[in-house]
Amino acid sequence: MEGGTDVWASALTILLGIWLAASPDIMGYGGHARVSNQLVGVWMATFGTIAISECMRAVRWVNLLLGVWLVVAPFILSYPDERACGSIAVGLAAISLALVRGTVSERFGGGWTSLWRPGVDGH
Amino acid sequence: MTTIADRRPPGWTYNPSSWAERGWLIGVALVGFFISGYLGLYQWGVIDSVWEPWFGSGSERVLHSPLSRVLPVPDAILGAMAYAIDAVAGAIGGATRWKTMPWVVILFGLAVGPLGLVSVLLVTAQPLLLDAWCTLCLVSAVISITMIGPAMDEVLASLQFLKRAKAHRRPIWDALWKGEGGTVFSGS
Repeated sequence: MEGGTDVWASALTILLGIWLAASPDIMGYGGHARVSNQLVGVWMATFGTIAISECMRAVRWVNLLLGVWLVVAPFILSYPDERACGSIAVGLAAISLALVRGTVSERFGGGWTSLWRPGVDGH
Repeated sequence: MTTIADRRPPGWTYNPSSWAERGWLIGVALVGFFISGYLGLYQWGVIDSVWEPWFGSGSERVLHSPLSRVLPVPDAILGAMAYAIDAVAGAIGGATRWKTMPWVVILFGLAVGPLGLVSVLLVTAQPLLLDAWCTLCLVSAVISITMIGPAMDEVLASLQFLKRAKAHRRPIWDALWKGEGGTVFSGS
């Protein structure tokens, strides 16, 4: 009941995040790209994990924002070319995966938005 | 006699407070408690060495870093205490505690959510500040992150319960501590 039957988008996002966090050490690079990728990678894997739960599926939108950052970061932080390609590729992949809602088979009394919508019953 | 369907919050297809939903969270919290407690005993010097299969001296550097000693108690000991609160707050209350004991559910959420996020912050500090990774610290972080999503559905059900109580002009504070308490608004 917690996770949907297909959580492949979340699973791939988690793998992307782990790769991002580990790649500076595996490929041996430093600079701004190292810091950005380690930070964004850890948080991307975190939000990807939380978004597995159906009632927290909206958390995937945070990973969309992280994906946008990965696409624009090379221009803001002046990455070398090979780091820029990697960052943009992972960013576009993260954005695409964040757009996949996946199966939500349970209902949650109107969900989190019911808390600030007017009305007596949240459904 | 209540039926299974009665235990579900209004508009829900399942009961987030059922033991099937909560039991494994308690088990996972206990695993986190033992891992974090082991790391804390190492930080305290009770244990001489720490298990580290991949990152060489990484665990030692992380666990003896200045950041881990910012507070009077080593951070892994605090982590173990947080896991203990998770396990206890996960275990208290029956299968309808989302409406009978909202304060426990919200305490549970407050323990699980921030514990997980603090774990992630500490994990990001490993490579950024110390240039080192610590295997068991990462395992502990994965455990605490895994608990967040599955714990939050129950919190949502309790918050919806409190909103209905407020809509029925019952003081939120009263509903938080006493729960349903004989009123009828919890059903739809």
